Amino acid sequence: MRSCKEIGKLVSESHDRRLSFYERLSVRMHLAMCLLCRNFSKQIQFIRRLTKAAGESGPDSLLVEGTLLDQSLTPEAKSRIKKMVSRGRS
Amino acid sequence: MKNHTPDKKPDPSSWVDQHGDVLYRFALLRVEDPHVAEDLVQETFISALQGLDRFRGGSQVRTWLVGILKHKIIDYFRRTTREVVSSDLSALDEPSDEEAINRMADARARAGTWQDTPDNLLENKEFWKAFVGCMDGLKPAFRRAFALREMDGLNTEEICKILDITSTNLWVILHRARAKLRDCLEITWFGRG
Repeated sequence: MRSCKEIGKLVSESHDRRLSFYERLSVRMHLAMCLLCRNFSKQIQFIRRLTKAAGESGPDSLLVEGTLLDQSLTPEAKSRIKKMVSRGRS
Repeated sequence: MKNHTPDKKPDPSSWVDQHGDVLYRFALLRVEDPHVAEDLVQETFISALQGLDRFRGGSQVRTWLVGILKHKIIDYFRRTTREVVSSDLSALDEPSDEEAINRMADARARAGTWQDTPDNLLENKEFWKAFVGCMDGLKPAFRRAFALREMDGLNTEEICKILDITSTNLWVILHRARAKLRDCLEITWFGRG
């Protein structure tokens, strides 16, 4: 019987590598019995889902709306970059 | 008045205003330092100008710029991985980590189920503030590995090459990063009064 600590690690690793048959089996058996590790497994998926949404850069992304981060380039940085762009074109 | 196909004739002079902030936020979410994020955005615009003839008008300007920025970020990670990642890696074997794991297990035991659904949280500014705060709390190596894996969806082999680490180390780092984020979100968001 593996400990919760070991199962937690396997649950995380299952998102990054293919677990062996025995690893999958022990995770499944453990999760069937252990509410806390089931929670952990759900929370990891929850975080993955949110992180993926945070990283997206499409037209409706959180970065565009500024929901996720509302920081902007400083005016100085903007004008410096603009100068560079116009110089680069001439 | 121009017609409504702005991508047909790229107009780089308006790009900084149109896309600068989004690119900056994109970088800021991945690198630790605002100055570095700013530099990467600048480099992105310079590279874009140099490669203007390779830009195929069909794809959106922003998508194209973000693609360039992604490469800039990965190059930056590569350049600085030796100084940043190796020190964080050596911390993996420190005995104090054992204690951290116990604390983690304890926090796990106390964790309740998270009642919100991810979709409910997407538009919640306060939640994202907590989320970014938790990301900022990760050690740089953890943060980099986590961002490459979960935000950008790179496969583990690519990440190992960029960060110059073994896959076993990467699995440990990703597990710790997820667990730490989970603990942090539990404390700062889900479990709050």
